Amino acid sequence: MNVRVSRAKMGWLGLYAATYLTFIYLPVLLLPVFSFNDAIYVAFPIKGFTLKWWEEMVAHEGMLQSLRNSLKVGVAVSIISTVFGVLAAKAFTRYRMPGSRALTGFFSIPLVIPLIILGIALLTVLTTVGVSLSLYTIMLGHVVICVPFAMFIMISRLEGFDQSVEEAAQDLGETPWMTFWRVTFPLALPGIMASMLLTFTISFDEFLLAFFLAGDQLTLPIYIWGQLRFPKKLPSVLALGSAILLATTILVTVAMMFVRRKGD
Amino acid sequence: MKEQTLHAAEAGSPPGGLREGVRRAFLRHEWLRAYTLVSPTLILLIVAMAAPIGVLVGLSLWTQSGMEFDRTLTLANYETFFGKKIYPLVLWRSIQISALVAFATVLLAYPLAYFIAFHVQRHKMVWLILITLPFWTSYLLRVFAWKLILGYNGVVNSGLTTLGLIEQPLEFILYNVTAVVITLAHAWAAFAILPIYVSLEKIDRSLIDAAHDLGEGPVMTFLRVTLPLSMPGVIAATLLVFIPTVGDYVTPKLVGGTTGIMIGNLIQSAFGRGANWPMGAAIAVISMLMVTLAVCVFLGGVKGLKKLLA
Amino acid sequence: MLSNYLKSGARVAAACAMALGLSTAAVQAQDHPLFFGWPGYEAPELYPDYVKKHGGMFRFTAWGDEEEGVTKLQSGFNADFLFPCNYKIKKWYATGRLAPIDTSRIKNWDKIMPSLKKIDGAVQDGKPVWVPIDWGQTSVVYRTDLAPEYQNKESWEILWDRKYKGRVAAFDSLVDAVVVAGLMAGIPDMWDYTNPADVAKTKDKMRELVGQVRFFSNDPTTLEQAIASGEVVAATVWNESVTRLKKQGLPVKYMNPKEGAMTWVCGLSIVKGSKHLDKVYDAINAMLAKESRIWEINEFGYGVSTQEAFDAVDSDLLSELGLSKNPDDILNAGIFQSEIQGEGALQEMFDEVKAGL
Repeated sequence: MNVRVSRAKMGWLGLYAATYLTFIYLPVLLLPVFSFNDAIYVAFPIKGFTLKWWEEMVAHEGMLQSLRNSLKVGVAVSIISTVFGVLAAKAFTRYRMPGSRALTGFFSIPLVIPLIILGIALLTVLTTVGVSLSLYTIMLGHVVICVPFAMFIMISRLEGFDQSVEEAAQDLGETPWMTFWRVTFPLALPGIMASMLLTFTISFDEFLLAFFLAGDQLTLPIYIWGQLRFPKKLPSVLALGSAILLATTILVTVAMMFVRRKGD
Repeated sequence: MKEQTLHAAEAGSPPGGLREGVRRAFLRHEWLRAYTLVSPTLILLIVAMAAPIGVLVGLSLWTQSGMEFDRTLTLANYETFFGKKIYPLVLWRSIQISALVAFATVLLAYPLAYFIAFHVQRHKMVWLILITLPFWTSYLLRVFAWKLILGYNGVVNSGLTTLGLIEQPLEFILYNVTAVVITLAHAWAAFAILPIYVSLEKIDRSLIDAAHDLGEGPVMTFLRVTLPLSMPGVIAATLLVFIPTVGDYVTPKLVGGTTGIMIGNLIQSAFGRGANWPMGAAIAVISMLMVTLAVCVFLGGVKGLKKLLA
Repeated sequence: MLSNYLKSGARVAAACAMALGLSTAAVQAQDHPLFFGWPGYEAPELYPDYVKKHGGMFRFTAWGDEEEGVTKLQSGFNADFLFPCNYKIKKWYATGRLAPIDTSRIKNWDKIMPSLKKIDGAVQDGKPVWVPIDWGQTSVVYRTDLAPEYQNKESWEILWDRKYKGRVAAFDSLVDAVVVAGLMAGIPDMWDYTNPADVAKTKDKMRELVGQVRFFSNDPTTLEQAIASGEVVAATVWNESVTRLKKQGLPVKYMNPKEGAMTWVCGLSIVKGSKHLDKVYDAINAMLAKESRIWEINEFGYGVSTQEAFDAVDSDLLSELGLSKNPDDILNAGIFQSEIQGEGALQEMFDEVKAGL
């Protein structure tokens, strides 16, 4: 009896899950469709097949430059915020410290602050102090919003593991630095990888904050925002979006296969 | 040159000097080590988040006169905010829209998170990745894609026309609040699914089995065991979606039409073409306070509900 | 196991180093001036001489709308040259950041139509601060297949036509949209909103418009997409949109409303203290060259500031684009966009009606 109920539930839930996946994939899959459509106006019905938007994309210096900028910012942000996150997480999980609840509360504010407010606040300070806007100011904003993500991922990773391993290493005469490097770091590595991946993703697609903090060097989302205004550029922007989706799909699939083989 | 010598002298100071003292303090006091570790993050967040927000509050007490700031402290901008109908109205509307988005997103996400946590046996990771993949394409392009789906000649309308269900394309699905809610619910899906999934995953399965053994039906088991235990995830998901969406100004601009503008648009306009930074700062500060208030009301409500059920 | 991790760590580090190495490209770009202007003007075809001489393009940033641009420059944005339009030059000048222009360094200065050089605001404190480049119109484009009846009675009235409720779109801008409501409300001067009664009258008309339009937008893309898909039958646009829509084979027509289309002139200004002054003048000269001006007529459908470019273009094409070789014909025929008086009150009113008040 119970089993049957569970099966029926599974059927309904499975159907729901499939519908939900359609909901999240439908808009995304339209992008590649129109990147091959032979018309500058993105509208139904579809006109014909062309590769010219993809060719245009590859030759588009401004777009590629902003892609490089986004990669640069994303990589830097993921490294910096992960390092900060690892250190903070270690403090919270390893030591008893007064005020740790207040501190975690304070550290999670960036998770929930409306980005436009953080953006204008940073912009106000930077212009008052006289710092000119550049990729570095975008990085700064992104590190602020990424650090809590990195920290919480690392806390959940470090919480589980046995401190006696570290202590044993220190008893064996390792310096604290070597202990960290040879014991803590390898154990924390999956968390570090997850944190770097997530913070990179957040930075790579962040628009609201970057819009206020960008100087003349644009990141990809701001560049796309600008390109959405030029009717002739739109299809090649769609091509770029599709290319990024394709690249990540391949990357993630390969990574999964790699992980699974290792697991076996 | 001189500095170098100084440094060398310091480094070479005999044991028992300053360095040794610091080292001993570190060994003796755990909290000192802990605070050293959190200090980079703490300093960063104080310098790049807390201080700027303080400055923003200060700025909101100035006024704009022509192209300069008038630096006399005044509450004039706050008076303007509450004196003009537009600001409270739009802020209230934004909070409602975001609350609706958060509610819809979480409601839609819960069954999926439940499905992955309890019914997917072997490929949980694949499912989680399937859910996050679409969010690798640019946010702006995803919003744009929604225009294609909901638009006049879009997927929905073409589909319904082909099926003969409608004769004239539906106009009410794009460029209004509905479109903003759908688009945002899509954009924030992953932020709702993941926390709920994590909290469901953490539930001790033996508790559920125990409820079954005690003769509870599946619905009651869900209501009395699973749902309460997954509440932390639901709350986290609600806040993670609600608070950031209040300040969104892109989605309303792209799909909101004439009636879908939100408070973020007014803030952006004050900092952009309105050229009135102090006013923009005041709007931002008030929005932040109201959002905090809304969150407190929500958390209080959840607490009250819990007591009522217990 | 450890060595595996170290290896992957090294790989990540190498990837980072590579990404950071890419910054050299950015450093090279810093050698070029930054042009801050209307979207669409970063096309290298507009500056062939510059590209030839310097082997690459200068940097470009587009503003959302011109008012936003003024604010950004005001707050210290480091641009080298700008693209102001006639009705805003004074406001740009008031930022204190426009430099006087040395006309002796502009090769084609004498080829620029004299009437354009005399436009209000172009000369400040006895020195020119603005080089006229192009001019065009703001009017309504409509689908001749969907609203055929307007072919004989072209008028801004189409935006208020009940029949097309929810099927029209307009610019999200004071100078390109809201003043039209002033015009249609019949206030004495559509550029003057210092009298609250005029603002109130305009507000009533704007309220109606808010009920009519599907959306307000400053993006040519959004407006054109909506026209192309049939989502809207009429929208306010600039000439370039009509040129593109026609090239895609759509049945559209650019109105010459009986009340008059709006006309504007845009041009280049230099920001004080530019570190790339020589290259800025190279860019201005490149944009005034015949080749560039002809390209702009053909691609954007705008009028240009030098007579020689007009003379080189087929007159059939000009009449198809609705352009005349004599700019005075158009400047005098339409409604010349001017500086808005009482802009603050008008913007506030616009925000209010958009919020449904």
